[in-house]
Amino acid sequence: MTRPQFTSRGQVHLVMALSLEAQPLIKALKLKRDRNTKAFPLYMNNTGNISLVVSGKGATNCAAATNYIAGMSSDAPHAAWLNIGVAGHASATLGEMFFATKIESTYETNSFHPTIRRNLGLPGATILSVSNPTPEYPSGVCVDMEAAAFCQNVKRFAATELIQCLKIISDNQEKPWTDFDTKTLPTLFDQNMPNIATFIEELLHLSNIEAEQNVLPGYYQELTQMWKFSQTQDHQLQKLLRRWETLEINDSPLRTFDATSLNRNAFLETLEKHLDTIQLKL
Amino acid sequence: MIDTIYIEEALKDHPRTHAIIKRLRPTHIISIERYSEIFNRKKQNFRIQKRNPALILAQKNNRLVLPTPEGYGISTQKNYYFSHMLNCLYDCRYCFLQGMYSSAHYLLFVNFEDFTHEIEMTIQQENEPVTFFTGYDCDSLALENVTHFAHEFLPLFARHPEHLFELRTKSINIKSLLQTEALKNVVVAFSLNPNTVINALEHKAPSAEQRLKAMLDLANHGWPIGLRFDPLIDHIDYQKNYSTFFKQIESTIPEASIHSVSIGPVRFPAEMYAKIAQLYPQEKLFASGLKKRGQMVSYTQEREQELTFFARTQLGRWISDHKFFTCLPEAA
Ligand code: SF4
Repeated sequence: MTRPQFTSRGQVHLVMALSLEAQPLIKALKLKRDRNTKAFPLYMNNTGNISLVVSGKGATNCAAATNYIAGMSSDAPHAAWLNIGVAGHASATLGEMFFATKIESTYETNSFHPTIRRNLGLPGATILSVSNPTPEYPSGVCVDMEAAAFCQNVKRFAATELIQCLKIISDNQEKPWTDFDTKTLPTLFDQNMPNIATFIEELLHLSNIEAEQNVLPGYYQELTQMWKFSQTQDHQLQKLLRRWETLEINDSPLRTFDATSLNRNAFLETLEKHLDTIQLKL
Repeated sequence: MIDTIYIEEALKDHPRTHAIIKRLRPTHIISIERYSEIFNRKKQNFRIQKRNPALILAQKNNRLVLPTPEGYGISTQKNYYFSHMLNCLYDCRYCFLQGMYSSAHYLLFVNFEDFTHEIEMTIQQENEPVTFFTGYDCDSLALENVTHFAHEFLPLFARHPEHLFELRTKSINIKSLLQTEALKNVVVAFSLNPNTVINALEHKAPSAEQRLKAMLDLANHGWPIGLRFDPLIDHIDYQKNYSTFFKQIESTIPEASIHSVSIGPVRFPAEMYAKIAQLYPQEKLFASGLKKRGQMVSYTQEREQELTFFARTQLGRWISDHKFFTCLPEAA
C-alpha cells in the first residue's frame, strides 16, 4: 500500500463518524479521496496538511480509525486532531455548535480536558459519550458516541493541547433523535462551516508552530551526505547545528573548518569547541 | 487575560472562589474533582499551554510550608518557603518552572487559612527568627489583582515582626503594599536585569524602568527592598549593560532602603535543563556558554566567578557588605 503524503509541517487530522457529515467539509476544504487507503475512507487536501477520515459510528470504529491514521502519520507528533460530529442536548438549539471543554463517558473512568483555545467565539460544553443511543438528555451536556474514545486514543500519540472536539446539536428534548432525518446532516455542517474552518486554521497554526520546533537544522543534509553518523552522533550533530543556527553564524560549518582534514568525530568535537567560544549576543 | 477557570468541586462555594470569579469574569468555568485532572498530566505541552493558560482553583492539603533547599537564605539560619501558587504570568526563558511542570496553567491554592495556620505552627516550633520565602514557584505579586495574596497575608506577617518574610517579584502590582503601613520584616525583593536581558529573555515582564519605579515607590513608603540579581546572564557587553543598570539603581534607590542583595549566575539542575532546552530548541540562551557540571548545567566556574565578582564589586561600591548574600544550588 502506498502511504498518503502528509506534509512535515503543521497538520490536522479530522475524524468524523458519517460520510453525510463529512461531505460538506470535503467540499469546503477541497479534499480528495485517497484511493490507496482501503480500511477507512480517507480524504486529503493537495498540500497534505489536512486529512479527514470517516470512521463509522461509535467508540470502537472511532478508536480504530484514529489508530489507523496515527499509524500512517507517526512521524508527525505535532499533528493536531479534531473530532467533529453531532450530539444531542437537552435544551440547546438544533444546529448550534459547541467545542468540548470536558469529555466524560459512560465507559471510561477518566475525563479528558482539552486545552481551551482563546477567542473562538463558540460556546463550550461538556460532552458525555455514551455506548448506545439513549433517550436521556442530561442537563447541560452534549451527548455523543465518539468523543471520549477519540480523545482517549489520540492522547497516546499527540499532546493534549492538540486534541479538540466540535459538536453540532442534531437533536434535543423537543426534537429527539428518533425523529432525526439524517438527510439534514449536510445542512447542519454547512451552516457551521465558517466556524469549523476557523477552528481548523487555528489548529493548523498551532501544529505549524510545533512542527517548526523540530525542523532539521540548516547544513544537516549537507553534513550527513558527507559523513555517515551513528544515531548518537546524529543526535549530537543536530543539537550542535541548532546551536550554530541559533547563534546566527551565517556561514556553513564546512566552510568555517577545513572539513577534509577531519573525520566525523573530530568534526563534531571541533564544532562544539567553536560554539563554546561564542558569547551570547542578545 | 484569563478566560477559563477550573474549580475543584469542593471549592465551588468558597468565598475566595466567588471573589476571583467576580474579578475575572471568565468565559468558561469548568468543574473538576481534583486539580491533578488538569495539572501536570502526562502528554501535556508546556509551550502550547503557555500561549493561553487557564486558572485552576484548588486546595492544598499537606506540605504547605517547606524548608528551603540548602544554601538558600538571607540572614537567618533557618529558612522556609510556601507556595500559594504554581506557575507564573511572565515567561522567562530561564525559569525553572518550565522544566518542573508539564502544565503552564496557573494553579492557585485558595485555602490561605491553612497556609497561615501552618506558618504559625512552624513559628511556634522555632526558637529563633526564621525567614519565609514566597514566590518560589510563582511571582509573588504578578497576579495580585486576581489573588489578593499579599493583601491577605500582610496581617499574618505583621503579627510576627521577629520573623522575616520575602515577597519575590518582577511585578509592579504594588497597590496593596502601598495601601498598607510598611512592615520592616517584609522584604519586597525584585528580580532584576538590564533591559537587554529583559527584552531577550524575560517575556511579558515589566521593564527595568518600571521595576525601578515600583521599587522607589515602595522604598519611599518605607518597605525594605531586596535586590535579586539572580540569574546573572552572560552576554556580549554584559559589563557595560550591567554597570549602566547598577548605576541606574544607585541613583534611584537609597542605600538605606535596601535590605539585602543576592547575586547568582544562571544554573539549572541537569535533568530540568534538558526538558527546558527541548521545549525551546531555538533559544539563544541554551545555545551559548552553558555546560554540564556534575548535576547542574551552568556557565564554567571561571565564567561564573567572573560574572559574580563583577556584579559584587560594582554593587559593593555603594551597598554595605553585610547586605550581600549568595543563593546558589551546588554545582560541581
Ligand atoms: S518571573 Fe520568576 S516565576 Fe515568573 S516566569 Fe520569570 S522566573 Fe519564572
